[in-house]
Amino acid sequence: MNERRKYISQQIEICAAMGACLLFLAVCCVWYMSLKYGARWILAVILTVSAAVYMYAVFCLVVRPYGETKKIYEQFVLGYVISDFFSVRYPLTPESDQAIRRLNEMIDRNNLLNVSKKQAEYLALQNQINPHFLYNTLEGIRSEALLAGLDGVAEMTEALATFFRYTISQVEHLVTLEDELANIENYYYIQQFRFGDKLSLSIEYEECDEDESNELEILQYRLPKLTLQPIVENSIYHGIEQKVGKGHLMIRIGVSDRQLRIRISDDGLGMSEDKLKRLNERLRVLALDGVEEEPNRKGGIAVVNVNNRIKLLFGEEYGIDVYSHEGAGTDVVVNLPLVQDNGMQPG
Amino acid sequence: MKRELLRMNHVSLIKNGEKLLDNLNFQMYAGEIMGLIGKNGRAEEQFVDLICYNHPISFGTVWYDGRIVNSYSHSDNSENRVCVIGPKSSLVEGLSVVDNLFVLRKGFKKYFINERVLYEQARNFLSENGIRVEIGKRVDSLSALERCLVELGKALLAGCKLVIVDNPGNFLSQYELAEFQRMLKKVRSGGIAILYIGNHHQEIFRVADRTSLYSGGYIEKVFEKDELTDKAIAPYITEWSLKETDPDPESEEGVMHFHSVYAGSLNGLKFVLHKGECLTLLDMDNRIAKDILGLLTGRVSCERGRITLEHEPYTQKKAAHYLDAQIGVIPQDGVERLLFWDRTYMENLTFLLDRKLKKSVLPARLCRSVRKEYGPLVGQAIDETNIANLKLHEQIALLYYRLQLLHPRVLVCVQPLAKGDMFTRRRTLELIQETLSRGTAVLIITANISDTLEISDRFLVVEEGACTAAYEKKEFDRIVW
Repeated sequence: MNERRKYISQQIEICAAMGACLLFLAVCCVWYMSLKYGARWILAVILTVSAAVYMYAVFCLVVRPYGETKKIYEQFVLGYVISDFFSVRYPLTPESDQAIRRLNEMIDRNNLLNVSKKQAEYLALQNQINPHFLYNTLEGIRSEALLAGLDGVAEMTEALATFFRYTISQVEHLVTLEDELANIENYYYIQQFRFGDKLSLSIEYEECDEDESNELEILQYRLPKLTLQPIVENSIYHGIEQKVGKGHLMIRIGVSDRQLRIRISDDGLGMSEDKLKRLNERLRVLALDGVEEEPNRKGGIAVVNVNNRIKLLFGEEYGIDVYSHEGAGTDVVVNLPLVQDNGMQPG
Repeated sequence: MKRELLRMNHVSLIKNGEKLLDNLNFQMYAGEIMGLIGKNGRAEEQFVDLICYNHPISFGTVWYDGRIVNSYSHSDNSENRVCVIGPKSSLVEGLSVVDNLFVLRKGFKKYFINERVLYEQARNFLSENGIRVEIGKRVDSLSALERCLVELGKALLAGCKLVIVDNPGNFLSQYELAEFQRMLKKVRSGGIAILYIGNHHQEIFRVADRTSLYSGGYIEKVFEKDELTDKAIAPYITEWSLKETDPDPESEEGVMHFHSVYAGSLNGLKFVLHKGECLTLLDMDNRIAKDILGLLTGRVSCERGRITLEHEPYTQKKAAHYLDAQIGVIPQDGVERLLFWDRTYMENLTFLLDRKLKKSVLPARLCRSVRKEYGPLVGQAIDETNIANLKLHEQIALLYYRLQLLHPRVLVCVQPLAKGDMFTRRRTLELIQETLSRGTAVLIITANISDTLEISDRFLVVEEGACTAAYEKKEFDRIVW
């Protein structure tokens, strides 16, 4: 049996094509008879108009919705969409609709497991290293450093303790932008011990030059924890570290009526067109296998994983886009919904 | 808070197996001017078309004015409220401004028109929006700027929230462009978004709030307001940086002189063009190009003053055979007018050689020699039998190479950078540079100075037919525009 023939849709398409041909033949026959015998042409006109209306109705009610559903299935198979698949406007049958809903419930649970996989890693780390033990130890080192007059070591230890506290102590999904930026500043402070003047960081707010309240309001929007730090880390290691001379990191935050938009730019090496296209292709697709490991990453969660988390939490219209040019630098743009309440559903 | 007007999310468009738009992300807010620079013009038309119409796309989603209007799963071919102002008029010629504004408006259903009320409404509307156009005037007698302003007014009346302006620098003079940009800023402050398409980044940076660099079906970079600088865009365009040519020892010798020439719009124009020099005339009123070309090709005679070519009078009779006098001319629409579409690349390239060699049939040896010389420069295009298959920059190169074969003393180029994308523009500059390095003097007549400064040795500003300012290369940074 032909591989395509086994599908019912194929049989329906063949039957529909045959039906259309028969209808066309019937209309032709009636016209032929009318013209030949010179009578009942009004019947032929009525039949033709009825056939045209019927075909149009079939197109609007069956062909177009079927095409739309088919396209969604195709894109789902290619891995480009997920949520559209579970909310098709025109399901094929009530049973197929129910089956897909059931699958959604199962995958949702699976997704939740995957999304929290990384957090589970933190939890595991938290279990292995008692945070209080870690903080107490770091605090001890800090005290010793202060007593020895090593202010630099003391400050660095304090920054490290703060970084760990943020990274492994809080396990909730969403944090405020203010907290996330504080973590970035702390992370930058730690990196400065290594890079010194070579690395600089600035944070800017769009349209906030004279409007302090606007800036404060923006800082209260929520986003998944550790969204920015992996991107900043990537920018430093892949963009600025390998660059000769100084490098600058800029975080630009903008808000529209629909989105919170954060752009992390570096003036580092940038990436080739080919590599950029491959990366953006990966960012377009929502991987159902959750948190992936990138072989080349040097610590932190990879950009692709952050993108997956955002898409899973907020939907496929949000996520990360990367713009880059070799020798000019890289811009990573994070698009997020406007979420102000930790427990609320985004939208 | 900014209001999002347009968002294209991961839009891909594949037609006949060719990926025209590739994972394109684009966003515009209400009340902003977004510049769009086409680095290579590939699929720019399809991009603009997708903003205006909701045609089927292969992947992605398009939001316009707060709702999804197009997606890979469902496209209804509907039209978005977007207006495009481009080189071609969308007004109905033969009708007046007021008729175009009101009577031809969608939704206008009156059978009896009270002209007095209509005129009063039009007058009020135009004055409210600061548009100064004579409302009773017929559209075909409007200047380019007036036509653009009427189209802008029409867009406002139709309730368009997004206006696309397509390369206005190519059809407006400097004065007109400045005025038009002032109007766009005014319209922008009323909440209308403007997508300003152009190939000259300096022109766009003057007016835009943000600028997107569009490259082969996707957005390569979005420059924010504080990044709209030559320095920021430099890494994206330096791959075509031009090599400096050695100064010609005889460059001080004047090849062509205009001695206070009066003809048509020329009002005592005088300048000297040296050997191997590139001189740019900035045509502030967008009028002199036609008259200078007329004078140099013998179609117009000098009313007063004279032109000399290497100190010999260049009369109208001589000008009628300008190619014999070793003057090459490339008009603005040179590709359309000067190429022979039914002939092969080689036939086009050697077209004028018979005239130079005074032989009706070119010897095969000569053709081989030309092929040998230009083959490495042109590549596979030299074997093309249908030149319509060539890319625009290859067609332009064909024109320049054809004239280079004649070794002209003077090459006159009118608006050489008006056409094509950013890459074509750079290629044209390279071709001019090559011509200069062969000792030919190049006279550029342009209404838009962007980029031509890069190649020019001197720069003259022409207003009302006469030179009003002159700048040497080292003074270019003083030019205010």
